[in-house]
Amino acid sequence: MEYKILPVGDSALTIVFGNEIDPEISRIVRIARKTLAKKKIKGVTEYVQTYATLMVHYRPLVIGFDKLAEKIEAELSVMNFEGDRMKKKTILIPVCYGGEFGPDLPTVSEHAGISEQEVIERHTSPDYLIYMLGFMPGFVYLGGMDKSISTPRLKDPRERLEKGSVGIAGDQTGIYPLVSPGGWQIIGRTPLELYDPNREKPILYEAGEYIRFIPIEKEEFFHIRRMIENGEYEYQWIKEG
Amino acid sequence: MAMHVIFPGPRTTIQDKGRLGYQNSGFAPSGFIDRVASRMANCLVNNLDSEAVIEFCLAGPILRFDEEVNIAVCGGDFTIDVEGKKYPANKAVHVPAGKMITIITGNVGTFGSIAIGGGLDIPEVMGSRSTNVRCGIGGFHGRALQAGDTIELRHPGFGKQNLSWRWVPERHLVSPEDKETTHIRVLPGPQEDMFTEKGIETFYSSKYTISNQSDRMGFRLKGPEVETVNGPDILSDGIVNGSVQISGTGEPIVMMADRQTTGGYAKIASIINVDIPLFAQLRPGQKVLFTRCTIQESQRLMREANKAWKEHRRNLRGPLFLPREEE
Repeated sequence: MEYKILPVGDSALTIVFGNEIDPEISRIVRIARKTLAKKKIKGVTEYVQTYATLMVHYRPLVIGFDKLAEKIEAELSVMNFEGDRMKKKTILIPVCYGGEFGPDLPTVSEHAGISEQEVIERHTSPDYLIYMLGFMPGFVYLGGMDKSISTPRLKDPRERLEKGSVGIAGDQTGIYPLVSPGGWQIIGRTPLELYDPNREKPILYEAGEYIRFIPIEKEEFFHIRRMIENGEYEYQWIKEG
Repeated sequence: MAMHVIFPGPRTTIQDKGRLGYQNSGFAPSGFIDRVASRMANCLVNNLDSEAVIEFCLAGPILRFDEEVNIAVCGGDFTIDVEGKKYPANKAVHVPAGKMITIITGNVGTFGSIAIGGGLDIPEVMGSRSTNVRCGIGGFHGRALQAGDTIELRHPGFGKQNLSWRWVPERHLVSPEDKETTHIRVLPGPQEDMFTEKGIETFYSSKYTISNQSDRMGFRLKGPEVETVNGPDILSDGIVNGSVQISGTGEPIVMMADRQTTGGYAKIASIINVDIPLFAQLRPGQKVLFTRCTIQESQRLMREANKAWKEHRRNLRGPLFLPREEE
């Protein structure tokens, strides 16, 4: 396994496994994150997974850089990166496409030269790999969108996107977990609470897991909303492998 | 028994040690922007270092308490006016019940930390009382303080013990010696190789001015453009407190407490831990000159500072009791 360890300031370091968006590199970063986290290295406070790097935040008063880098190298040298050690976990995210929830669905359909229904089918067919979270709580950087529905960002970003908005920006697709300004082409909205500070897991998913969008009608959207508000909704996962 | 906000100041929030452990989910840690000032203020009123303080930016609030309390303000040369009686910063002030407290801003310091003896009754969200305005969580209803807000004291009766004999010797304060230009030490990387030799030379030899576009998320600096080999865009990776990234305009942005957890601009360096409080207190218009440091040196400085702080805290606390909570 090739990697390098670099200090990032005096309270974090980064393990660089590569420099591209690649599911294989992402898989390696995830194995490193999960395995190192289990080791409970004293002084390490958290691990942050990105496309091709793993950032390790630590407390220098507990462990210095040289010692920590040495420890991590020792762990990585014996780590098993082979095969599919991790089960594939996919969260199902219901989305109501078009209409008031997806004002830019016509734009995307026009840009791709296909019907709105076809856009929805292409958008819901892949399982999207969550490469990383960032930008805002629960905001996912997804891989695997069908390039035929790629659409440039809006020229004039909207001042307010509702939480749960599902959009396309260039080759990327994603969801806004919070109300935010934004320039993405909004094609639908999910009724799910992707982010809830009072839940045991404030954010439902993590890097290395997958997202599958499920098209729903408006009635179902409001039905799910009511279930969530009453605490009756069960988030749906598919586990394989 | 409560604290009343008469006038909040423009950007006054509750902050503590920060919301740690959620960066992998994209949560900024938030927390004290000036850790040293905040723990100093807390120490003066007999709180734990990690207790939540009221943090204001340049313009301080006007407050009133229903009962007598000890308060302390640190972070700059602020003045505490208790209905006409004036007290300096960096000192415990015993405030009688019902008196109006006005914080007046002086010549040095941007972010003031007001510690209140016994702490405020603010619920923890995800392990922290820090306000995250963007997510609308933590602090007081997830927002900056407003006129008319009333916050209960967590330990009423703490103010019976008058702590006004406590003060901080100057040597424990962090403030720039030269108001014109402050030297800030950084560790190079992790993307120094994205910059040309000339760009790196520019970065370390030029004075950069703190701009008006500076807040708890980040400080934008004005100055000579830092030349990149092929633009500053990178594959997004992690960001730390004090990361110096070079934006599309070629000017540095220093990422602070409310920063994003990841980002796509190349980072030429990171401010060392012991210099972050000093940097955080610089005002728009003040200049910085970045100098190189090594990781071994910066971690040695952290250990020294921590040792000095522990000693100071021991001396200051004397025989007093800590509230019984975990540190």
